[in-house]
Amino acid sequence: MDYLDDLESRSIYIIREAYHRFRRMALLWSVGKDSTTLLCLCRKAFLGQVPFPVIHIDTGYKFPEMYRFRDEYAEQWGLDLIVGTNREAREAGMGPTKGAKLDCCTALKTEALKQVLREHKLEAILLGIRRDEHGIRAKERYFSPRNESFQWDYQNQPAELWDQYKSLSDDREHFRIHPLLHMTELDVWRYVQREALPVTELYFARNGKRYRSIGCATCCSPVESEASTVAEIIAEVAASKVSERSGRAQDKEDAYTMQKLRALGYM
Amino acid sequence: MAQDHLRITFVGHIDHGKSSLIGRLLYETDSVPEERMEQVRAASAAQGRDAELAYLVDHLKEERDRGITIDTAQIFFRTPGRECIVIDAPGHREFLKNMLTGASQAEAAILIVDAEEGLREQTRRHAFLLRLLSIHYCVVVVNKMDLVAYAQERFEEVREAVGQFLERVGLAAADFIPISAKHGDNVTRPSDRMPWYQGLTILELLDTIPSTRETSLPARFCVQDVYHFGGQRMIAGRLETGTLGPGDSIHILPDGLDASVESVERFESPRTLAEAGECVALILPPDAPARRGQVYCDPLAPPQVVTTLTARLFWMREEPLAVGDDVTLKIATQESACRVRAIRHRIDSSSLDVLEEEAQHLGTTEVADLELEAASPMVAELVEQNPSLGRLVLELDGAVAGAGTIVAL
Repeated sequence: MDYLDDLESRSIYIIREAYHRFRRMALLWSVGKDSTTLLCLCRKAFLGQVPFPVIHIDTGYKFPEMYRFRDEYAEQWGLDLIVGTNREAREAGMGPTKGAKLDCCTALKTEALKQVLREHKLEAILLGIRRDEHGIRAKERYFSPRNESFQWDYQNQPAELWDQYKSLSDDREHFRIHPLLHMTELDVWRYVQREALPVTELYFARNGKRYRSIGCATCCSPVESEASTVAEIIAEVAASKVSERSGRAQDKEDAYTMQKLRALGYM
Repeated sequence: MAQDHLRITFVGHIDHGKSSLIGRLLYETDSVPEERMEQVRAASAAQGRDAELAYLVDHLKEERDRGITIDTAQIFFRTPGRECIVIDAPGHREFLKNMLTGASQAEAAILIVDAEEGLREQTRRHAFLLRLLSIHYCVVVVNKMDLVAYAQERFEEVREAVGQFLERVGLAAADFIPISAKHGDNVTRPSDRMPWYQGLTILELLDTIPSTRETSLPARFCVQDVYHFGGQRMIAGRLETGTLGPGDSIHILPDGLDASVESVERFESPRTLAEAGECVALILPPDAPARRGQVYCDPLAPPQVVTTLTARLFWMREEPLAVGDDVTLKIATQESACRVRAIRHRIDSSSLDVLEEEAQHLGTTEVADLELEAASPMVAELVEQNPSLGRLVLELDGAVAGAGTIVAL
């Protein structure tokens, strides 16, 4: 067992543990490399199946390449795809230029997710966030409870040790399950390479630029790069002195935007 | 080429400098993206301070406002020899369950002690907990040497006191390093203010810590779940120790039956042998019973099946545990209601003072040898024989309330 095998096994253990505990669970798929890796780990965990719905939260501002990728693989892998959207907010013209990014993310992402959870009465969702993405995410648990208002009580998190995770929920709580916490950006790319996992073409260089982190087209900035293969991306990331999410506008709005967003239920 | 990896936790009393040391290590190894340093400078300025390197670790606003670490964080950085995952643990007594959560994921530990203050309550308690967590490799870092004029005499005093305590707890410190995280002495660069110290810097030391090696133990496969995808019964679980391959004989516990492994399955993989740590799915003959909680083991060296056991347990809840209480006992994937029959040898996990030999209650952060009686038979082993079946938690309301190791069956 090498290091990637070890990371993979730890993720599969958590995914299987979550499936055992929660009758009504779904996976949140942003169509980025991390949640796609998570999706592929689920296929491994369940021997080719994905025995629960896969949710795509559509803000309406995503890249066309992402929608294409989503539809292609949803079909290929036989996914039970749910597309969630905050229809009222979008019809009212909500967008990233309407005010603070904090408000736009909250309305179009967090609120949309809340609606999907309520509609489908979900008890838990699997997310592909990682500790090294952001200092706030570094504080997360594998099984992380959220109360009925979606709030994250980061000052009083449950103890987790020896693969024993907080299990019970009362009706008003849902759980966030984070099977990729222990993987770094580089680990994910190495895993993508080893497993030949598909990722959207946005990650690869076109005209001297590529996206290192992907979200809504309006709030993502590409980086200068010539990396056009996974191997080149790995070399570039390994040598990089810039953080992965440096092109993501909502992280920068103010020093604690990410903390506030996450406390309100953001990924 | 994937490098060697090491998971190391930084523990010690509050304000002895864990977060600052980690921050300095990151900064001096050039592991911090420039915009993150900018954020730290800006956030520090907003608090009226110079660039506070601890902010590289303490990200929550509340942590910065109060100047303390509330929850564990994991930071990734590279030394010349390997990739390190540093797990910061809060040093405040209030956050012990967060310290345990973080430290339980480590293979090695750095115990930080303030040169001026010496051994404090959480220094001792954390050392004790490292032993409970079976983290055997521990290095002691004596920080804030600048406050004691970089005096060798003071370093030796602290080394003596800490060494003695570690011996009582059953831990052997691999090394003692005098540093100043604030000024950078012996962190990544040797200090010219401590010419009497000829040992390694922390950075050098991180490259020498041995990664934990798997000792070969008998096979133990803990069943997590049973799937029926594609019409085939797949028994999903993790091989905790040993190896398992098709054709191998196994003993099924707690049922007490024998069977032969028909197949070891993975998705889209030709590999057939499972190694320790792997999550796979087994196919057994259809008449072999399969359910979560079972343990499949080497028939020549099986664990025991018991309803009573003695666990050395650390209690985390504010409300004390009492003799006669009903709790949920969990060992690997097994779960059973269980009653506390006796609480013996109750000790303060910091002073190691024996509070009572026969107790009625166990208070928060205390440790005792609990006699537990499970409602269902449990497959168990002494922790020295096999940690996967020798570690347990007690749960209340679905949350971990106590953690311990099996010391008698």
